[in-house]
Amino acid sequence: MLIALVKLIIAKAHNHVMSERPWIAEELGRGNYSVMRSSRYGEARGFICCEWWCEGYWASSGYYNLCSNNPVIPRRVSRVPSVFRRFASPSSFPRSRLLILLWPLVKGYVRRFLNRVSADELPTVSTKAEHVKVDCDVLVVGGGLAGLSVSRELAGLGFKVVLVEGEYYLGGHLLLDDTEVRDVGLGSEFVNRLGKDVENRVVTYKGVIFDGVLEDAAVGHSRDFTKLFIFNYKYLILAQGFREVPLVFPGNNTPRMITGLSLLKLAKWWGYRPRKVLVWGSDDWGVRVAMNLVKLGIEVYLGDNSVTIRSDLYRDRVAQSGIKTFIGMNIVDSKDADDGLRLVLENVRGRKAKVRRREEVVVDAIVSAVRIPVIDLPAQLGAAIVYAPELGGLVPRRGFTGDLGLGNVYVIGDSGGLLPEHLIIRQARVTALSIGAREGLVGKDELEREIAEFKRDLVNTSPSYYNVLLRLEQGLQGSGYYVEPNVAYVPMWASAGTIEDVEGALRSAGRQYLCFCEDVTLKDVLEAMRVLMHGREVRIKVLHGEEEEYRSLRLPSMERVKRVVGLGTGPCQGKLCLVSTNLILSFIYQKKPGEFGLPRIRFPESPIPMATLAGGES
Amino acid sequence: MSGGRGLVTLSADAVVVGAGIAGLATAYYLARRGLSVVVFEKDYVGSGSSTRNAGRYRVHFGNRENTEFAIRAIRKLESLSGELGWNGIFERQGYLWLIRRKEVLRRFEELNEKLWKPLGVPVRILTIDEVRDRFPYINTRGIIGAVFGPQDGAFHHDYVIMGYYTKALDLGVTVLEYSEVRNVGVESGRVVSVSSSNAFVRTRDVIFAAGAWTGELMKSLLGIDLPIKPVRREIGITEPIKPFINTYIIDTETNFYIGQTMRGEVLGSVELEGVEGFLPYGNTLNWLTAWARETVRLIPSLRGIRVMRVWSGYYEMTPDSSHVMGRLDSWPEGVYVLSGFSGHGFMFAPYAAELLVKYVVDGVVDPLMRPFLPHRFITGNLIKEMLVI
Repeated sequence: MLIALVKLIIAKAHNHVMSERPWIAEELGRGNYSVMRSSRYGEARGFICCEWWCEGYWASSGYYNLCSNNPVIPRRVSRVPSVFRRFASPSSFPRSRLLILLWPLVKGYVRRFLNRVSADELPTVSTKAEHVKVDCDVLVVGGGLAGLSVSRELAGLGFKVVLVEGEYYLGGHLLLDDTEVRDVGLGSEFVNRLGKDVENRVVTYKGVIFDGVLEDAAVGHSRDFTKLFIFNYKYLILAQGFREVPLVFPGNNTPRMITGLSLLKLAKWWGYRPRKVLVWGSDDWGVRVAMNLVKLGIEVYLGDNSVTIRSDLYRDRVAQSGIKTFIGMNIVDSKDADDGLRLVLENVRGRKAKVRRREEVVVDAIVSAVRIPVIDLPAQLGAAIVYAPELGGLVPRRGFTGDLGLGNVYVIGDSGGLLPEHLIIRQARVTALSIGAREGLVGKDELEREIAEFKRDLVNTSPSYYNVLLRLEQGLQGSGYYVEPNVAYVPMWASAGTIEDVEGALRSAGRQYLCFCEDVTLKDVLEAMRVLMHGREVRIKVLHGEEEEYRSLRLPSMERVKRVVGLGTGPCQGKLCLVSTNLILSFIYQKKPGEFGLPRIRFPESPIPMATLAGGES
Repeated sequence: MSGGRGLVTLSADAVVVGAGIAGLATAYYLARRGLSVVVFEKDYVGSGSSTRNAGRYRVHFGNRENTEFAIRAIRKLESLSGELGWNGIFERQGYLWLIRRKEVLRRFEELNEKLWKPLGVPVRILTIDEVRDRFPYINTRGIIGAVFGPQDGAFHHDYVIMGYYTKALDLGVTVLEYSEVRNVGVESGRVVSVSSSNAFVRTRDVIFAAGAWTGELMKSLLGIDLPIKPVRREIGITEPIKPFINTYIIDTETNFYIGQTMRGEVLGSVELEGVEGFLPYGNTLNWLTAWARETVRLIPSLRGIRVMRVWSGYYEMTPDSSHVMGRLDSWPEGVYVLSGFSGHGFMFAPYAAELLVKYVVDGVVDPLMRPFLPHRFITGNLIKEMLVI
């Protein structure tokens, strides 16, 4: 008791964020997992994330500051009765003959029906919003391991560095990670130390979002909306890390699904303790999330539809920590029940699967630890986005130094492709030296030596890392002709593995939600594809003699799919859905992700209030 | 639908260049008359100005020619949901022009008496009290009155585009995306083929409906001079909120406009001095802050609403801000144009396409189309604006 109290006081002194007990933690603690209603159907939304970029997702249905003490909850919630759902779905709504006929009568009703906040319920914005000019040599976006490491290196070279971090604390995901990280030590301790060091040497803005680059200015804003930042820099380094995305499986719309980082915050800072959870995603991060939860006394399952635990570095530790695994399995059904979330899992059914395994588990929550590189800003700035499964899916094309080929923009850390922590630290040094060399502060030899060591470390950790970075660099700086591999595996689609599994998964496509902001299911997207292909059925299994035809068949782009079903048009700007949808479609149709592409990612990175943009006169 | 990757050879009665609203509508009405049609699009369907606009329509223009055309065009537009099988989300919310100077009000009154009333589309001149009463969220400081056009409204551009697209495909139209026209073959003064990087089409007629790119394209392919110039405009949209802006508001002094979409997003812009030419699709902080300042000034309750995304697009401007349709005798036989809509293309194009098809197929020039023939740029008999609005 006393120890707990002392801990609490230390936590309070350490960081005000940790001392809050957000409303959402209270609700979860009370067993209320349906904290949000969706905008279109008005059904319960169980997906919870407590990171700064989640704000757009909440805002789509009129919620604000959900992970704070004072959230905004819409006063009234409408709900579509199930008989009308087929008229309301994103794919059928615009084409319903009945709705077209009745439109003059129902349009006002439809308009008022959508779950939004009213203008007078919007969170207030300070009357005095300041426009702040910030000058520096290098602007670093992201205060996690990568951003901190590169800032320290650059400061050491004598650069004037400014670092912006969206959260109110430095350290990113690693700050919540109390496990032994390969070659780094205890993750939280390491990054905490690094953060303090950097804060002493570098101008650091916490709670500030870098929104992107306009023609006449690079712009950011503070999350309390009192400041609009105008950045003037010579070099820009993007280090936004990774993002955990919602899992796609039958019935994924309502159940309690929490991102790994959010659950660690809820459990470590805010006192929410589930008894039993299923962590989905078995790469380095997924395994470490699971081990963190075990340390807290939570009973943990670890699931993935991969052949084995994907993490090479931490695979052995799973068995030691007593985590029960569901590897090589799909979630084929899920239901909210009185005693928790009831999940049915089945093994991935390759033809050669000898043992059929079916499991039913009841957990308090499912934890999404499936992570994707944050590519919003590289994409907004015009970097080519390509598929590299070794690095976590869609990544910006870049060289070993992180150069995006845009002149003065670099990407490092997980946002340039997922890498183990010790390689990120190395990579940060390469990027810093490369900028130093361009400025004449570092000899070419020193840079070459560092790059050679980085390459050696890459090969030693996993040859595939080296190979893929080499391919990306040659694609970038060589001929520019770069061929993406096919998508053979989609980690966030928890209901697919083989062709047979895909066929099985498509049967429940109407119960698999891709976009939680606009209530778009996989079925809606497939229906949009069918309409855009003018009714032509694109088959999953291609027969002999049809390969040539299918190889040359060009499918409609994501941009057009977006314009039919509204996918990614909510205030989160597709942060939760665009990459997942691209990979799932590419997997289903065996096309290159580059063929579907991504819709244009536009300014700003996170919505900015009018008053903040307008400035403080009024 | 997109074609394959190899070189395709086709033959068609007509080729349409551009798969925006004008091109798709033209292709559809041509196909309805029994013609086989191929559409070339250099990017994806609707990628130009057709999906970058504010999604609003009006019948009120500053001259007789455009107003008469608009009345018919809007009647056509509003009937499209049934025709295309896609819900265009049409809604007559009206246009509200806010007036800050007496002489502007007088000009509107004059237009109403001399033009709009006789044509059957009268506007209502609102006093400042009426404005406050009907639009209580507007800050009326500096405003002396307003003009309300109840016949004007809103639509959803993506759904209308999809409607024309699917209908055209139903009738066998071939739409080639990512296929930029490289050459128009002319033999003894008549079009014989159109080809792109990946397709070759034997045809006798080609209709240029390439929006802002039309002028440049016709010049480079055929040496034809048409004064259609791109002007970049910026626009932005906020997060969605419950509906409360019940019309489309235009500040006649600042060229600020704002409205709310069906989904609840607030969409608007302030039109700063446009720059001619194909500037990249970018945005400026200069514009963004100006837009935000005007928004907060005019509708203070929007202080807290958040800007979700911003983008830009091209107006296809002609010297008299009116579209051009038809052909000139001096052009090779079979070349037609439908472009230069100068910012009101989406609302005019469906009807204009119908008239153009009548001209292409039957050779009939509709009286409403006559003022918009390209001839006017040679004779100098341009369409005169009584008021630019």
